Amino acid sequence: MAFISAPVYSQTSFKDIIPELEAPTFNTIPKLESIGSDALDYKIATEEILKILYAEENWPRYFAYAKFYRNQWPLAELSDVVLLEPLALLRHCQDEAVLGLTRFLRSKKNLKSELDQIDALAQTQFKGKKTEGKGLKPLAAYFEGKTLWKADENKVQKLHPKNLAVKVGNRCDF
Amino acid sequence: MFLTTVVSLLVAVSDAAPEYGEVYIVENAERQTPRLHLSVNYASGVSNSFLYLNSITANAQFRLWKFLSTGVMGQVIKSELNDAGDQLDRLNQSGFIVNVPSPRWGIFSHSQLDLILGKWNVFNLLPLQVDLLVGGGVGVLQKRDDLNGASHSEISYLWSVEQRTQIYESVGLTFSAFGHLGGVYLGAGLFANIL
Repeated sequence: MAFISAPVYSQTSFKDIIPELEAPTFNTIPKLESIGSDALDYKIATEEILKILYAEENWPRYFAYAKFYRNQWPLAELSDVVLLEPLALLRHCQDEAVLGLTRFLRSKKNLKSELDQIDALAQTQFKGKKTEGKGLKPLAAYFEGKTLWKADENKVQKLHPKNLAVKVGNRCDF
Repeated sequence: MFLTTVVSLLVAVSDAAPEYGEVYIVENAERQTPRLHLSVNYASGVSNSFLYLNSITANAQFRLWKFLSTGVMGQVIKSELNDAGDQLDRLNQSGFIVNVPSPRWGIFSHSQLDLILGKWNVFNLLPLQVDLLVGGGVGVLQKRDDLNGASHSEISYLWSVEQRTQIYESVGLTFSAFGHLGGVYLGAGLFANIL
């Protein structure tokens, strides 16, 4: 299968979506996704999508966007929303991935205190750590009419994440 | 210069972000069982030791939900004695009473679940979509007590396994194995999807 990520041209202005960001609806993310890669607000729109998906605990789509966000722009240009990714992994008790990601972020970003806190939280169990959000269940997705094709992460790094999902296991056993 | 390049490569490798999770490409609701599916098959019985069973089946399926469809299947069966059946039938002339029951026709409610999707592309000239379906149902089977004897009806189960190969737009070939109280059959035929 050949998946070529064509440039997405803007159909919606970010200014028109700002009023919805306080209380996102089911239509907010599709509107943000329609902001093309040629738009000045493309990065901000992606960041807003990350925040909404994190708040909804929609982990399969959140992690797809998080990986895309980290790969699409240089680390020095990323905002603090990049911290949501190790926090999301923390909530799945993926301790090794958390430590690896904080080590990666530490090398480029001035977020020492926040990353130290996340590293410390990765070593502990506390109430509210374990996420209640649902992960990706391939069989359930089949009966929702979705077909999932396993992909090599390195080959889909630059694909738009609206057609990607990431399955991350929840290792919390408390 | 060489050492600088090697060191910078090593730093780049160690600086790589960790990979985690399994990445999937999602196709949303791009395919589901067709709203109306019609097929006609020729099927041959493989489980009867004394009869050649040649039949024509027709199947109409309506989509209930995504990959589940239901409908009706009809089968008309022509029975002939094979060599073994012929020899068995000759015992009748020796005073033995031998009956070889034969199925005549059946009509069944038939529900199917679409299990597997396969997509192939032959030299970019022939895109193929293949579905594997399993199904079952209940219906009425009419049988004769003997090849020329009286007939009676009975309730029978139906099971089926079918492979559909969609060749051109909404038409293609179907290969199936199915069975009921009148025997097990292997069939092949044509189908058309509507809507």
